Amino acid sequence: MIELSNIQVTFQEQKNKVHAVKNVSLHINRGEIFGIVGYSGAGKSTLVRVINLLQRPTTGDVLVGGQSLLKLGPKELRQTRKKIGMIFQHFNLLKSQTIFDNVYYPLRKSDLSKEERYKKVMSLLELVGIANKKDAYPSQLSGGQKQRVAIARALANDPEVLLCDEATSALDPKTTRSILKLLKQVNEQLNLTIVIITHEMEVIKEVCQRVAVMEKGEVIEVGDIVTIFNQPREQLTKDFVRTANQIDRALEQILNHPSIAQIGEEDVLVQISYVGPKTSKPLISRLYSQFQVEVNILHGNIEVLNQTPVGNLIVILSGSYVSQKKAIAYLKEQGIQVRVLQGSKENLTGLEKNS
Amino acid sequence: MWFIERYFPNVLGLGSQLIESTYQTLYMVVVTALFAGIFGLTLGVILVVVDENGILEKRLIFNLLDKAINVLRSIPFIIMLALIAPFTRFIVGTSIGTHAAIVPLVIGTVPFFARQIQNSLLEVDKGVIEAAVAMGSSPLEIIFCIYLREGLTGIIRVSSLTIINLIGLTTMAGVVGGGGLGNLAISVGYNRFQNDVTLVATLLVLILVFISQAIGNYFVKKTTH
Repeated sequence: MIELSNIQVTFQEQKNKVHAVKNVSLHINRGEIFGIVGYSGAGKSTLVRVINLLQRPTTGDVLVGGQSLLKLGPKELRQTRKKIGMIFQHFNLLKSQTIFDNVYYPLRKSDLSKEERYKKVMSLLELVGIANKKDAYPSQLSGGQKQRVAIARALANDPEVLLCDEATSALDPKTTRSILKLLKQVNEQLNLTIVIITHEMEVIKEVCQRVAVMEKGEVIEVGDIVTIFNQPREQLTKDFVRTANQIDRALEQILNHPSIAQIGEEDVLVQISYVGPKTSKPLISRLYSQFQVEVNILHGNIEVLNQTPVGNLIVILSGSYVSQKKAIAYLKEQGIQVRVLQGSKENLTGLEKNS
Repeated sequence: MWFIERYFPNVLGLGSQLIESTYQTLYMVVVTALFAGIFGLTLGVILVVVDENGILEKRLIFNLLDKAINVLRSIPFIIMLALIAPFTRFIVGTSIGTHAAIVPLVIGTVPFFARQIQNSLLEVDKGVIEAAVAMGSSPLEIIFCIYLREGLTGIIRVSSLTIINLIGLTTMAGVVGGGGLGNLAISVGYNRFQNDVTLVATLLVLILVFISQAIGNYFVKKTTH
């Protein structure tokens, strides 16, 4: 749906050249919810603006729906932009107009009759759940409500793509979740391709199917959400994953408070991670019945990332050194990730640490 | 009645002249406001859209207009009246009288108003402009539906300000025989040592100013959401 090829965006500021985006190539599939995450200044906002040419790339090509935007004249570009919706961090609604008029604005030059336009605006307002406020002004609405209006407005011309530039960054967590829920709904109902720019990994975790990580103008890692969260490669990716990951917080607490852990001489502290259907197998009880290894669960968590269940456990394994080794080998055979965190010297030399 | 006879002896006899002067001032203000309003608004809008990062960026035009306005604004109005007399003669046929005064008044007000409009429109949230561009709005749509609508309250405010400034300028129209309340205050009140006339003329000017202010405030309130 969206193809960015070798995009470079360079600004000339007095005597310095600022390389906001350095040689980025991305492919975003139709109907996908694609996230772009990075710290402030990483170039994500600049990059997303290249998609609808609010920002012209210094070099590189932009294809949306197979059409190269750089080849379009001003009028054609405006027509194409009607098919690319965009919502912003600070909503950008027309403060002097009512909610109804705000959503009506993009329809002013459309081919629909007045009655059809009216119906469309009302149906959009109902879709986002704000029809009862149609005569209100933006100043009378809360942040979440304003963003809903912005979404309705962005959908007015039946776009194929929706760009979200830090759309939830100004909202509280609960409102953020409701907006993300709305976006997910719209994506499913209309098969709308959505690109989400954010610095909050929680947002990515909630709705995205694939994600790109940006740092200093470059995309350092791209992948599907389950892989990115479970097997992050780059350091920055790992840092981001950690912010949205409860497991590391739990781990920190456990490692810093030995009283919680109470590891015996021959015990070993292990992190177990598993993805997908394995979550339904009763593996833990099997560790005892087959290997006589006792499992003390200190922390357990199952999350659903893009409809894939991902489980994490922090446990203490108690038993003879040999049984522990067998048990861990068994788990690994089942395709489960095992990471040994702590244990006495003898255990650790035998078991592979941090594998 | 006796109060007026005692403290404003000269005013009574001036009845018709008072009315004529008020009419002249009003005439000058209204006609100038119409012309200067249209020219100034257009110029102000142009300044905003051809500016750097504006929707129709053309630096050369911007620099030219910007400098030209600065120059015109720097000329004191009373000198302007004399300076452009030849031009006035070209347009109106004469450089004397109320009609003739309109030309320098317009030229003196347009740069002022254009700057006011420019500043007012620059206050429109740039994010909203960006959103409009992202929605595929044409430059004309952005000018009429965004800048002039979102900036309406600001435009009304600066218009009120400009009219009050304009009333002040008309008081100097007497220099070119334009008449008006200012002229009355100076030529009759001051030159003939008739302070009461000066006072009454001033009062009438103040009333005009207050009315402009009140109308402006009313509309500002009405358009604020």
